[in-house]
Amino acid sequence: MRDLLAAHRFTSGFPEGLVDELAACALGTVRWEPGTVIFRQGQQADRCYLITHGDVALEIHSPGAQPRIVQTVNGGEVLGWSWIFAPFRWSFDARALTSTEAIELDGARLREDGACDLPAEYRYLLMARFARLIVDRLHATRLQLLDVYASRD
Amino acid sequence: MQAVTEPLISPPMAPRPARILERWDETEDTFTLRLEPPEGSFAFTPGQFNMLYVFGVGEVAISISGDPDQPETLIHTIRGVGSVTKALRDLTVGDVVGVRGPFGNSWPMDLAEGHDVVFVVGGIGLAPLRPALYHVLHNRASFGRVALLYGIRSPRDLLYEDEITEWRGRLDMDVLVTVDNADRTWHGSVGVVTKLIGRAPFDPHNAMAYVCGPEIMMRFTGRELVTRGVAPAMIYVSMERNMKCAVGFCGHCQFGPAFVCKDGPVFRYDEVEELLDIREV
Repeated sequence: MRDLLAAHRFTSGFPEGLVDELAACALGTVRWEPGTVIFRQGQQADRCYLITHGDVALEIHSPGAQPRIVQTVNGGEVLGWSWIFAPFRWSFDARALTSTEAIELDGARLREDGACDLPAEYRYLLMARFARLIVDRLHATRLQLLDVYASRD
Repeated sequence: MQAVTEPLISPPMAPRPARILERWDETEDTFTLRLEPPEGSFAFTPGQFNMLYVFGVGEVAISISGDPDQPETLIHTIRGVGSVTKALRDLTVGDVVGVRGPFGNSWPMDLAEGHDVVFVVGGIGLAPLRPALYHVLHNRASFGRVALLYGIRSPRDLLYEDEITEWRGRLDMDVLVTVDNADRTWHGSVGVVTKLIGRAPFDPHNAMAYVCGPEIMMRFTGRELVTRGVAPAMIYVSMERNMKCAVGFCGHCQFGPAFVCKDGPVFRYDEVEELLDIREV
């Protein structure tokens, strides 16, 4: 498990000690067949998934309308950070588009026990890495909102 | 009576008549015209454009989107959004348009030889890049890995669907397509095109990148390519401005110190990077 974690893009550049701590919070690997619903909006969020292979769709539902895919998460990326912030509920549905494999981290343990025991430097590195992901996602969402490919007179 | 003689070379401001041989829709608002070349053949290089004239309506700059190795075929893919392009949309087979061109510079295909080649395309930007893609595929052994990264608004905005399908099936190139939003009938990627750059299998330190799309998309794509390790001097972008004369007389398409029609439309990224951040250029 530790080697698998160390090979994932999320941990690139992390000190070995931090990878060890993350490995201690790993629950194992999971595999989803295409179409599998990984989690649903509103459910308790206490897991973090480091996708190693495959594609996952994040979907949003509104009454009376077909679900919309707002983003796909692919191999090398991270699925889910709702476990970091209260009230720890998923904001979207996640559904496997292809045969997908991931490292499953115990988010609840990471935030409540494990992370609190981490040296401050490690905690900073971990949160900075998640912040980077969130900022990248925010930038991407802003670009999507610009609708740059729309027809303009 | 004095004999009227035809000039050997058409002056650049005189449109030459070209008949529409074929017309088909690509998407809801985008269509392709196959024109009969004015002199039976129409040589051009990838990246160049023509001025298409709808008689009585006006003229518009449209990239040539056909195969440069088939000069007997003149292809333009056009989005019907303005008065002239909408008038072009309403024309039918047999109608005649005026053609001036080809104008502008080209994608520097020779500089890419021996390197991986990455095409990063947004929306209708695939049309100006398709001739370059044809060139690479016709001379496949001269290039390293080839990747097409294509971002569109929704699955129904996919251009050249049959060719995209064919290219995806090739073993010597990678095609990644992403859309801004989709429903469940779409099984591909959803997100911005810049996200595909990290997933594409190419060596950023030995790659040439050709980028074409909305200006804001090219700005963010350039940054992402550089972040991934592509040298700024190995990135080329195709600019779009309001081109009128197409020969650098009128100044409508001024872009900093350059005229897009004459000095472009293809520019090296490191030479225009700062201009891309200026609100009014």
